[in-house]
Amino acid sequence: MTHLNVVAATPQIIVAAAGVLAMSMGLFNRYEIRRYGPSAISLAGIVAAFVMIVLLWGDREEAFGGGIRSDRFSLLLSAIFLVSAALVIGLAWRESAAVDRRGEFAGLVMVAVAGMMLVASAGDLIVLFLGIETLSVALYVLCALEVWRERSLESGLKYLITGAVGSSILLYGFALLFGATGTVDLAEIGEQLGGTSFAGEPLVIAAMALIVVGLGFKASAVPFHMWTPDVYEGAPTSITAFMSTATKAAALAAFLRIFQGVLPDLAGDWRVAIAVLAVASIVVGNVAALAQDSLKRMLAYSSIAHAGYLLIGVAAGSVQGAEAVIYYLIVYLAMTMTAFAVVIIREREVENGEMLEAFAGYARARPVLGVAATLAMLSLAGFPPLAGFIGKFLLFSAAVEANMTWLAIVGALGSVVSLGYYLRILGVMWLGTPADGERPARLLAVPAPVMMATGTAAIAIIGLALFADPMIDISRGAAEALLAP
Amino acid sequence: MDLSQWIGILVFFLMGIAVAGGLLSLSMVGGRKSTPVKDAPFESGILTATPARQRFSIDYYLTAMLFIVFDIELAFLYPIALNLRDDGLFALVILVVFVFTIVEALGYVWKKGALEWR
Repeated sequence: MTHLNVVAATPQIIVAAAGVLAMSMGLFNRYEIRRYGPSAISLAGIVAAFVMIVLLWGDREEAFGGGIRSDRFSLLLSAIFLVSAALVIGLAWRESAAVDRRGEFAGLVMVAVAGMMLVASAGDLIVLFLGIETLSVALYVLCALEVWRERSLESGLKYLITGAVGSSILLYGFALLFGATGTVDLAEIGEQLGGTSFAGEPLVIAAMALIVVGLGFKASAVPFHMWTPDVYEGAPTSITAFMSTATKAAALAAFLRIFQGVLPDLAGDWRVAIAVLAVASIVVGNVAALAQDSLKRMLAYSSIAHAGYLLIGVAAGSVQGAEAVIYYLIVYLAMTMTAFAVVIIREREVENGEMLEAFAGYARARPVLGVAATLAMLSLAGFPPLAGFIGKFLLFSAAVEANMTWLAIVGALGSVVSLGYYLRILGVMWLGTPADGERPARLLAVPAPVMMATGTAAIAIIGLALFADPMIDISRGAAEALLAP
Repeated sequence: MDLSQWIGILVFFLMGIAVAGGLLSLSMVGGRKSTPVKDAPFESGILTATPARQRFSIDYYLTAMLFIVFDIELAFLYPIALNLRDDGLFALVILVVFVFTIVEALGYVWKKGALEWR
């Protein structure tokens, strides 16, 4: 009880409290409260937490005796999670899982965000693991939220089993790290392992290997990606969008926190391992995506490939690398949300709305949405001058500067391959003809919250490119905060 | 890389294999003789009274899980209370928050009808 400093942990506390409140709102008998209460409370909590983040922005402060750190890194990552949650709550406005169980949906999304914020701001291994478990358990339930649909249950079960395997491997790694250093405090572990006296120590090597594997499961990096396509395809689409943006950001935050922030002196040991994961993810993700006919599955493989691109920045092991990862996470949030928003809108209109043929001629019928989808796909593929290009450029140049040019070359080749499926989607959307007639079947009005969320994400793709400089500066501040003593 | 300090683990591992492997191979050597007692599902001298595959109502599991939640809450409360005794009012706030989350969960379960015995 030495220095509590609860103020530094207010964003996490606000989000967790909002989650509990939102869940209770879903229990009221009055329809209006049940329907709108949870979303309203969650959005209010997100805004309040965002305000606290802006107020806390600055040098590191520690809460609960160092268990929770509030520095530029954790605050910026928390902002990413919060924006992702807000967009998902908007996108899920009419999604069946979210309408019948609005309280559970909004509440669990908020609990997951609280867990992610704990991961980003963890000051010791126990808090880090607790955060990962909190977000995982919430997501297991969210995946299976459409209990009447077999695919959704399958998705939840598969995620539960693979997630539990990943968590236990990660925990084993933490235990070995604790065994090697005798402390769970990240700063003290960093001090103990500083210098090179621990290089080649078997216990530390085994710990690092297990941690890479465990976090690889969470980030869905090849070869720990097997669950990703099935889980992403079966889960409610808004949850898929949430998983592929916020959860990936949380896993990458854990990667950066542990490897960049705590073990920079052992970089020689872990850089190659992470680089291998990155290469495998880029190759497998991009090649497998070429063969998919379901847009959700294709985006799942695309998210595997993007885990690879992001790991390039981690493997670079430098401040530039971390900066590139953080900037790309922000960009990736915008473009992936837009891509999934298009799927969500189409899914409500026709059965099998996630299949590629459901989109034939869709962009001609809905030009605005078509333009948004075009921006998202081109940015995901890394077309200049969109934000995705800037992010990839930063990642690859960080690899080159870290004497890993081969990694940058693999990344660039992967991007070329990825054009194959991103452009295929665009081709079907703009040029394809629907199977039964001139216009795609059944166009419904898009609910206002969905439209707002989609518009925000799509505009952000351009905005992040136009205002890249300030965003990169902020990311650099966050990356430097990782290494600050 | 000096591995000599890990030799104990290797010895332990080898002894484990030796014991398990020895028992297994001895059972191969001796041949088998089955008696009704050996074939019974339990060998503690108690005759089985009913078939093992009975069905329980799913409500039983729900109640059992809730019981575990509250049991563990109680198990946590004692050490927390001991450790936080010196912190006065602040400790009370922490405890109330902890208990509130569990009561909140009970209210949720209750309202959802999981406590109704069908």
